[in-house]
Amino acid sequence: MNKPGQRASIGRDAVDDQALVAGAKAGDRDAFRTLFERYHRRAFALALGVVRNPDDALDVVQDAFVKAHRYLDKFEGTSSFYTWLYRIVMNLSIDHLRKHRRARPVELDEQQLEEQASDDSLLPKLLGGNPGRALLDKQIRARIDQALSELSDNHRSVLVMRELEGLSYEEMAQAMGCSKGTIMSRLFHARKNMQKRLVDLMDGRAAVIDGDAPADAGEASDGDDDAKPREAATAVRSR
Amino acid sequence: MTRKPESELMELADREVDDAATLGGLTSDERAKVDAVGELGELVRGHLELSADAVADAKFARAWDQIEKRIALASDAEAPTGANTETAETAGGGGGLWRRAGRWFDRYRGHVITGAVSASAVAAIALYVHAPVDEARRSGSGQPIDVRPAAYRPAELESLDTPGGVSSVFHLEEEDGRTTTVIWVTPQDQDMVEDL
Repeated sequence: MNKPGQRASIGRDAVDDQALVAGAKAGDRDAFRTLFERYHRRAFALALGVVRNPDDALDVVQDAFVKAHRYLDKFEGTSSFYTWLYRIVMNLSIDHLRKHRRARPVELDEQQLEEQASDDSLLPKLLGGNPGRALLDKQIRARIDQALSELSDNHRSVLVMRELEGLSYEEMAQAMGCSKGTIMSRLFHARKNMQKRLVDLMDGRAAVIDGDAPADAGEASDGDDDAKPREAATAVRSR
Repeated sequence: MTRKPESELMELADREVDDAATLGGLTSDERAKVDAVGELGELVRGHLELSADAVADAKFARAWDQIEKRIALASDAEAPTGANTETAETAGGGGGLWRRAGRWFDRYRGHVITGAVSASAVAAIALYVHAPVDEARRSGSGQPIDVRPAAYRPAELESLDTPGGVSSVFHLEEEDGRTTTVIWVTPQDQDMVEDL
């Protein structure tokens, strides 16, 4: 598994990618196939995290590689190939969500979720500090899957980008075409909602801090994008 | 001690703020929250990566086939509009035309080979089926048939039945050896003939 914050642009892979990209640009089909083999699962995981349906995610990956091949001449190599590719995957995933948007508007959905989560906050523990072991449990994985599905599209997209690709707030803001404050707000509420949905899996005690979310001009009703979060009192509850 | 806003805790967890001193000054609850954010991240990442790993290779192989087909289709669609590029490549001596032809052959190698084998088979069957006709033709002169009359002989009339009269046939020899045939008809009733 990749570590958080891992970038494809560092190390030997990046050099190899450049050679492969150069080959693919010159019409070397095998070079492009190698790029596909190298990144298709990672791209699939990203698409799956956003669109949730494996078949749709596979379609997104297909579209992304076709698009990448088509615009390969425009790839200047200032970033790694995968950085360029994940942007394509992300954009196509978001496009997919827009095309297949559920009946209720996402914005309303987000507000509702944020209101629901406003009386809780980030929790100090989830599964006893051993996520690797927890992932062996099918029930826990099913719960995580369910929790991800219940997030709004925007919240889930930001969470997946951050946790899977380790993007910075600024990079996510660029990728999603919104402010850094919006990204922080979405990420905060996404995490809080995930924790809320997984709270019964926790062991140990949980602390709750009331209403301390980053303000977000794009989704919250007040404040500008970079507004400072409020100070809040802390309450501790035991399970 | 001033309690940290949760947004700052999240920034610490995401390493947006790289402040070891801040991290060191956290209360145990704050520290636990930072750890929990990291733990949630690992759960989400691990779950998605395991989900991706669970997809069979065959599915991705089929996806690659589709990608390859779509790339080939796109290349074909762009080929007419890419005429200038092709000309430039050829003019530049880069062997662009040959490379393009080579790429086309590479792409359709299977079709070309199948087509060639099929054409050869059809040709072989056709040769086999039509072989007896050719043999028959070969057994003849091979030249156009020369149609000639069996003999050049003048008509020979010795008598002729003529209704309403009596006919006589005369063969008159001419000086050059040729023969002229004359048929003389005498009506039986002269009046009737005049009425006509």
